[in-house]
Amino acid sequence: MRRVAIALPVIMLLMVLLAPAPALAKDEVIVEVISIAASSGDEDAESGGEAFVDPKLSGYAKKLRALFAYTKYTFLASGRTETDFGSPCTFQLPERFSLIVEPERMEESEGRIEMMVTLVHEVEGERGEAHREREEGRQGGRQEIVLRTKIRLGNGGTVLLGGPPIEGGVLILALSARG
Amino acid sequence: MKMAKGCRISRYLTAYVDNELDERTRRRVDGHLASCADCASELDSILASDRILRAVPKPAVADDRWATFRVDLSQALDEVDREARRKRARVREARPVYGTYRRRALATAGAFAAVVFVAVALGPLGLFDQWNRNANECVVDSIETFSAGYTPMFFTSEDPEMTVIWVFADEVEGGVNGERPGAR
Repeated sequence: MRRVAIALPVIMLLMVLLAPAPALAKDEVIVEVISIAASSGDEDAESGGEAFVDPKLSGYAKKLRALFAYTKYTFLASGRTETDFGSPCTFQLPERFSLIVEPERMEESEGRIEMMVTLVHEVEGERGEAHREREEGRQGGRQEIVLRTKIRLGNGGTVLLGGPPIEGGVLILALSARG
Repeated sequence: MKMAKGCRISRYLTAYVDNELDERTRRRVDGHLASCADCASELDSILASDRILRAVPKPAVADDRWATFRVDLSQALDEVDREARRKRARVREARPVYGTYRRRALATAGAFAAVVFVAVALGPLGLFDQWNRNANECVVDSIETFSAGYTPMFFTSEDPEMTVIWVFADEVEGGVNGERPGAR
């Protein structure tokens, strides 16, 4: 009886500490993308002090300020979807950008999610003509592959992608995945 | 042996037979027996039993047994007393054991509550982020662009631990200059 009384709280404690996130179906991955506009306008610089971060991005404020030198971070949009391994999902982003995320497999040994990430920009006119053979045609404009990367992301982790210019700044994407 | 009902005198009948009453009480019993049929009948029953018992021969007991009987009886009574003391001692010892068990249980429950409180209270402050540190680990196996004017790179910072994949656009960044994105 005494052993049970001592062991029970210990077991409960271990269960609390080691409890995994709510289980998904084995082949499902939750992918979330948050779009951020980063800028360094003169009016921002005049305000001095630390960079302004949109309250909707409070969870990323510390990271954004530490990693980048922009003075203003504005929340643009967010998207979240569930997909299967091997099934790509597409997020429509501001200013004709789109992000295609294809989880390929779960790396069992280290618990990372292996995925192919493609950032596409739909362009008009003749820009990118030289790379036409690599581009996929789409009605209303051509699609340029701005970035294609294969990554292994820790389960539940986040990676930041960014750099493409948008109106008044650059686009930053916070890509998270949990399987 | 059936006692005579309703007669207080009947309690003296056995002593009356054994000649153990004082003179005054004996005269009272004599007077009562003359008028109470129930007590007289009970007295007859007692006398009959007495006669039967006296008729039974005494068991043969050796003289040396009588000599040690008092000592043996004393030792047996002492042993009874010791056993009673041991039982009381065991009961006294059981109390601290129960108290210790209860204290341990309370201490364990208190420690558990303290750990849960610390986790709940300090978790939002990020003190346990290192437990989940590998969540943000990101290995970049390949990185490329198919658009002119972009230069893709990636870097991983330690604090905060985060991997950043960046496509430097010539028209915005003026090329890769080794500084943080956004630096002017």
